[in-house]
Amino acid sequence: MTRAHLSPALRAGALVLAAALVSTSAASAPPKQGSGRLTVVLPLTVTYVGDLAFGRLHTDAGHGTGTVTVKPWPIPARTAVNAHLGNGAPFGPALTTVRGEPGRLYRVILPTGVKTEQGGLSVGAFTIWSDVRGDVTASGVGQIGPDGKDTIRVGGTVTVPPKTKVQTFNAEPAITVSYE
Amino acid sequence: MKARVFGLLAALTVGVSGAAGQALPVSASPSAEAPSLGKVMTGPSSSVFAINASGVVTRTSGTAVRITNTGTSVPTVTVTCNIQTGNTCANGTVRIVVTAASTSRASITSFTASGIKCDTGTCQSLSGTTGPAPSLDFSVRAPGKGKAVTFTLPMEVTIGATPTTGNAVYRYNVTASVN
Repeated sequence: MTRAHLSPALRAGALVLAAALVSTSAASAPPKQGSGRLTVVLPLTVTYVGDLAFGRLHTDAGHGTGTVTVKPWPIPARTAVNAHLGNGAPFGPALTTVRGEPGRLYRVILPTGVKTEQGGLSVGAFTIWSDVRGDVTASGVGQIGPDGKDTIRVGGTVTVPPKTKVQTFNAEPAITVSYE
Repeated sequence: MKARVFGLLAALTVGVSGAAGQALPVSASPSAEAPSLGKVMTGPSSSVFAINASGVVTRTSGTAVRITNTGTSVPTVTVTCNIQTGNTCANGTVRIVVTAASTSRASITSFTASGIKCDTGTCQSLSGTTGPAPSLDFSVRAPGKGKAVTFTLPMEVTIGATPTTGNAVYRYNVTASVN
């Protein structure tokens, strides 16, 4: 049988069926693909390296309460008000190494104050130096360097009562970090 | 002879469309990636995050920590019965299949079809797997010509142990047909 043998009516019927097939095909649609996303980052790890050290110091009886401040940058520096600074013991900021995802920002959280390990003197007014971002006292936001680490240097001020004898004072400010 | 030719053509047409079903268009909202989990710190073991129908994210196993602590968007899937010929969309059955696509660092390990509606009402003759399950395959009575079957798609995302850092995309496929 060939198409030439179909009557006009049969040809019309075949065309209707063909049109229906085309219509069905046009109604087809590809599968819908959806997706979600997450970003995997390295965990933050914190290694406490050393205390905030005020070195040796004392106060007199007649000058009231004194303060000694250790600044972590650009090089560790120590200044005193109504207090005497002595030699023979190192001073410097608390050091903490933070490791994580290179380039990621992280937040440093410090307590408002701590006590010295010797005598329980009050320590506060912390200042924060990030080796990668510099002075971050105001923002509290450091950054992991290209090598996957940053060092946080924390300075502070110790309040020294009158008639405090010559002694070495250290403090350990607990540092908490989290990714921004 | 003419009648036999016409009858053969008709049987062929019905046979093809009846066996495979007719594919229906599927859309998902939001059109952007969803659900996205943001930044995640991984641990030494694999972890699972469950995203419920409201977009609340909960870690159900493992030690990974999600840094982004807000909720996320859960996709709403819409299947429209758009077959214009015949009564398929009125009398037929819509079949919906949801599967996870293979990924590397993170993958969808469980789906749930939640809040299934047909033209904003309750679906009739719901049967099959609506989850939670690794893949879904369920059917409902067709909602009517030009009307839609909708549902949200809560899911669980599994992150491997200590995967390579960087972006991880997890994908899913939805296909729908009507018979």
